[in-house]
Amino acid sequence: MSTLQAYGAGLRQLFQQKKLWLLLYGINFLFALVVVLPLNGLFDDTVGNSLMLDRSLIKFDFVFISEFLNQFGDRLQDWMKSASLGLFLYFVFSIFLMGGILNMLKANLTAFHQATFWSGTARYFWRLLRLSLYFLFVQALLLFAFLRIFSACGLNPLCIESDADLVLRFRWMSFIYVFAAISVFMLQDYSKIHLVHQEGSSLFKSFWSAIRLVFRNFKSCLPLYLLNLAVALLLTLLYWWLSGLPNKGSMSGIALVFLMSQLMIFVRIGIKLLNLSSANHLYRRFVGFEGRPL
Amino acid sequence: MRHPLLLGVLLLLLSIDISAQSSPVLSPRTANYDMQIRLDTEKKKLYAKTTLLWRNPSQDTIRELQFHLYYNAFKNTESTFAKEAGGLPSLLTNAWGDECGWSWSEITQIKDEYGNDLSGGMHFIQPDDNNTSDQTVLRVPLQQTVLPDGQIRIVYEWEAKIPKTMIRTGYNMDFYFFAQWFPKVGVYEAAGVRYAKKGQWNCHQYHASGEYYSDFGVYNVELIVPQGYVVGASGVLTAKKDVDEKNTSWTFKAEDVIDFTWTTSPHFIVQEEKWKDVDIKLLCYPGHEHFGDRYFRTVKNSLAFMDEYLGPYPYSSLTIVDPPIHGLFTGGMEYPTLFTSISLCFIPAGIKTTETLIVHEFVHQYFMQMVATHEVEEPWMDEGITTYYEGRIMDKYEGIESSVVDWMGIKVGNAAYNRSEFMAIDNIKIADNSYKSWEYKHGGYSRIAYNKTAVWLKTLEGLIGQSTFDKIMKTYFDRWQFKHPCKDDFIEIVNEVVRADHKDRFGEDMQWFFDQVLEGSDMCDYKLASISNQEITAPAGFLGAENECVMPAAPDGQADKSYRSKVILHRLGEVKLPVEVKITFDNGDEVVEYWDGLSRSVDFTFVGPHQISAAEIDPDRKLWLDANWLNNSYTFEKQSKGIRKYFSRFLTNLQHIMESINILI
Repeated sequence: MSTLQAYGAGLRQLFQQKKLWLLLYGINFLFALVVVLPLNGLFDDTVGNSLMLDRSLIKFDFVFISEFLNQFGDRLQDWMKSASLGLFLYFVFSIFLMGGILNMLKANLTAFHQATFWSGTARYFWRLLRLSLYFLFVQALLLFAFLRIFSACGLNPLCIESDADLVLRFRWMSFIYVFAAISVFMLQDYSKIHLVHQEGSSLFKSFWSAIRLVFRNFKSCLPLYLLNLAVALLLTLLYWWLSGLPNKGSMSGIALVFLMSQLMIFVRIGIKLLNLSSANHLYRRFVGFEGRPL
Repeated sequence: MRHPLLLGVLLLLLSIDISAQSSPVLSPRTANYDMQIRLDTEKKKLYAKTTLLWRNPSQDTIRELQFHLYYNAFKNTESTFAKEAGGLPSLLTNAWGDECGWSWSEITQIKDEYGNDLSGGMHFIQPDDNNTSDQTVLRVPLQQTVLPDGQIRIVYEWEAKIPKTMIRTGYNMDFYFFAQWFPKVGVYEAAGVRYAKKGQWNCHQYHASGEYYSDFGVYNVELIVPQGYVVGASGVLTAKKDVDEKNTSWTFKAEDVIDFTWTTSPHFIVQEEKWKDVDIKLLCYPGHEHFGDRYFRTVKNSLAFMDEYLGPYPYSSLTIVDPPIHGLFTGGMEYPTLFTSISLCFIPAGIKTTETLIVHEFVHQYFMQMVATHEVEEPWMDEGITTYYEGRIMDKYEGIESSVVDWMGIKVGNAAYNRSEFMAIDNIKIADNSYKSWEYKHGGYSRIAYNKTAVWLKTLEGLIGQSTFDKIMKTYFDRWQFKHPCKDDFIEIVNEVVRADHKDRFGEDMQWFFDQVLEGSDMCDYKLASISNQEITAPAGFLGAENECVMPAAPDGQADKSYRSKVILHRLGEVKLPVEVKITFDNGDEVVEYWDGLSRSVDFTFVGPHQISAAEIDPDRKLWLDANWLNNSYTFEKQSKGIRKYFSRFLTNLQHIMESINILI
């Protein structure tokens, strides 16, 4: 199976799993809504009757932002603390949901099946949690190593011959780092898939199997991952450009930008599913499960 | 006086010497230097011989001279500079490696023009803090006094160990920057100059904040550096020649300046452009040539602005130094006809730190270089006025809302940024503007001396109008260039011009303003507290006979309705400034009321067929000192569009963050 074939199969499966897609979007929206809701009251109480608020709509208004932070920064900071907790909970809950997503992909169903999904969430939660933590550790290690190597030549500006050289060094190292980080993310995807497909295997076995599998089939795995990444980047750029077009000073403009941003969130979730399902197809091809439900 | 005839001949010769200068004399030329400097790049030392021709500007007989030896501020951890700075930043000392980065400056021989050796009586004094470890001010008793309006020539040889990567000065790798570097005579203030009731030396120790207060003079400086080194310095290059196989001599002449600064490195690339008759030179390192356009464009704009609003830049040269990254601590500093900025390749062009520094340091050519105020005793007159003009110039040429940052949709204006810097301080009342530079504590120096001054100058401009304000500054510059003004001199001009332009609209004088904003540290905050619209109904109750109760009339639709509408304003801060209030009615009509701002609270009541829909204090944003602009306005209806916009933006941004975090799963 070629990269494009896997991508096509993933795309087909994505549209077959529209309910799953909607469910994930709905959870994302509701979670964010609950976290952000107190801000409505904050804006209403503090600046709801100030002319500065509506005047700040059209453009980036530094004066309004700095005034708001100066006067009500403490209250915003309190909200940010609770929002961080919300983000953490969402992170954990997403690990829980990941089990369901992978179980659906493993079952290779043509439509959303609630029992399969929810049974997967519970069954794989702890293993996926541990796996996520391990990979988090690996990513942290990678970042630490990058920073250490980057700073090994000295970061004290007074010890640096030329900032132009520093920029050049940063560019090259960033390129290498991003490539390494992408490879680890890719490995994590295949480890998850392997973990769910090979029920009995240990986490480390999943990890090593994924490494073996990815490196044996690097020519297919990497292009597929990069294709998904490129699509995501293109759509993000498109969204960025489009969201700047409506008149943000009107209620219809605000509504349009909001709808576009929700569409973008929906697309991002779709791309995440597409990435997993296309990788899943590639995985099944490599391990000989192609076409068969497990 | 032992040899009055000889002295007379010498004075005559010396006066010929001074008047023989080619350019028109702009300043009193009190302290004039001929210096020969040799830079030893191996030993990191300077060997120098200086001839100081000092003119007594007073009617006093002078019996001593006082010198700044500012390189001794970096002699050890016990100097006043080091103590006030809380030690040297580790960034600096870490860069020293095995080298000793400390410095010193020592006069090895000093004689007057009569051949008297003055070294016997010289000793360090500590006029500011009695810190006996501080050796930044040297008292030199004279053996021959200097008569009123007389002059004396002092010849001294001195050496200095150059500090490594020190604040504002020093060397690092092949880069050398010399600021506050030579033994420089202090200022003798004649009675009547600034606050001097009688003649006195004004020669402060070197403090961590604030440097300048010097007399004007002519500098002839020969700098001998290794061959291949490029030199940039105050003034103009008058001669350049190889003195031996290894060294080259560069001679500079700077007239009517208060200081002399220079830099050298074998790596400097020189770019040159011209504005009117001014030769502009940019010295930068390889890899930074592309910053040239930004430097020249910005400095030309600044020259044009100051030329238009204050007066011409009178010097024929202007040198800009773009230090390398390892010379970062010398960046963003002002010196006569020379200044430094900072440019870094990793900072996007939309973040206009470089432009801001160029403008700021250039404006110092006017405020502290030409209008030679005392930066140590009255820092607001130097840094504050400069920061105000930095905002004016940046906002004019770079866009009022994008002059500091214009990057990825984020736009920040300079004047607004300066205001936010002041307003965001932990304690807005931390100090007033009357503090000396070293008296500011806990971050108060830059926030008060720089930002607060710029903010109250902007407020003054708002109150009296820009044209009157510009007239004040022009008068101030015309009257005080090449002199030493103080606060009172500035206020006197403000009173004079405001009176001429506005009669008694602002009272007898503007002292009430300066008492609050300059001498006071109180906060200014006006708040629009509420709006009410009460329908006026026909009178009801026992209006006439006790047995005739008139009942309230039933509402009868919209026609002929009348309202008693009221806006209530509060003064929350202690600062009292006159303010305008704009009231908008539901039919779009607008009324502007004036409030003297004195009482704690005031209301404006209107009776008519229309209700008040919104009201705003200071609608034209004249009061930049007002600490909270959010509470300056009040709308009867909630600003729902704004609430929804910010709410939806936070919501979607959070959703994006949540999805981004999911990458880690």
